[in-house]
Amino acid sequence: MWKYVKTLEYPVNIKKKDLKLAKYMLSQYGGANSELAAALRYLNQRFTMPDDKGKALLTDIGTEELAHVEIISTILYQLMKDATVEEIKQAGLAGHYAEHGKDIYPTDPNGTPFTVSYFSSVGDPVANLSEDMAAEEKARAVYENLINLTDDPDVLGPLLFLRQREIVHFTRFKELYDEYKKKGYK
Amino acid sequence: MNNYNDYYNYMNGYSDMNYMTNPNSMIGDLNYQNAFTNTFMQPSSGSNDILEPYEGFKRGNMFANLYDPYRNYKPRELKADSEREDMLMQLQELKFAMIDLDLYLDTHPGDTNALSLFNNYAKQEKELCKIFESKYGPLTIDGELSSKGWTWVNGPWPWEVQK
Repeated sequence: MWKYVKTLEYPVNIKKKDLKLAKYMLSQYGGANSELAAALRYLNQRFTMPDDKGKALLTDIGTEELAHVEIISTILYQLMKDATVEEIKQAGLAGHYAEHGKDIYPTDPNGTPFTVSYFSSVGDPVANLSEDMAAEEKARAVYENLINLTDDPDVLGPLLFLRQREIVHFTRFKELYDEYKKKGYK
Repeated sequence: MNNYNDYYNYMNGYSDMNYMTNPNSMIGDLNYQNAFTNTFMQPSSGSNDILEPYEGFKRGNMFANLYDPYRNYKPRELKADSEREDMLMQLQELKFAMIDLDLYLDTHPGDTNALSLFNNYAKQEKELCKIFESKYGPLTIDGELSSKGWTWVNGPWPWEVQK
């Protein structure tokens, strides 16, 4: 089971609203390489890992991804909360506003709703783990795109933190992948 | 342990940081980078690349050898503006150290040095969490009980701007 801890993994305190950036940030909430896709991917794949080490690693990284979903949600909420309707329209978020008001909702920046077809689960630990490694690399690349799109230090802090987590997760998945390859797990 | 003095004593128990000798001086000008250079948190041997909690926390990576910066961006230096925020941030640092050591230990279960570091941070986190919760309310539903009634509902909630 899970237990809610009433704090973010990394602090987010954004002082300046920025609707355009909020729109781009949706990529990490409801996009193909989002934190949400990562959490669901690992938490689905963990059940059939061939040993306890794999079950532990996918449970633990999947759990941390849920904390990252919360960080991204917080960034979106704080970037949007003081916006006027005019600012929302200018940022191209009028469609989002019509459907969801100022609620956060998992779509990508182009308004495409989140879908589970963003990840797969094929019942083969080595294949699943190589997808996981690719997912971490792609999420890292998306973070770099987002970092290039802002100069607000209040947003850059959490983005740099989250980007670094992708590097660590990739490394741990690769360690497990290499071990499973050597052991001949399929 | 239910007041600020307990927190102050707790921190002194782990270090001889000068800024802690006057509890009022810590708010505002606290330099976390220096605050965590006490030797208590250093591993006794091996695992030389494991950073101290604040250094790892701000980077998002407890492992110096694994740290991979993006272009010339530097990790953000984090600063607390209130006593609550200061304590919470130290908890976040310890929790982060535990999260990252946990993932490392999953793939390196035989690393006794990392294990003892994990146990050390877990113990510190538990103690500091108790002090925080008795002062500011529970962080988890089964956290430190309060005599003030049902305080779980009280804000700030994590997504609210805290400064």
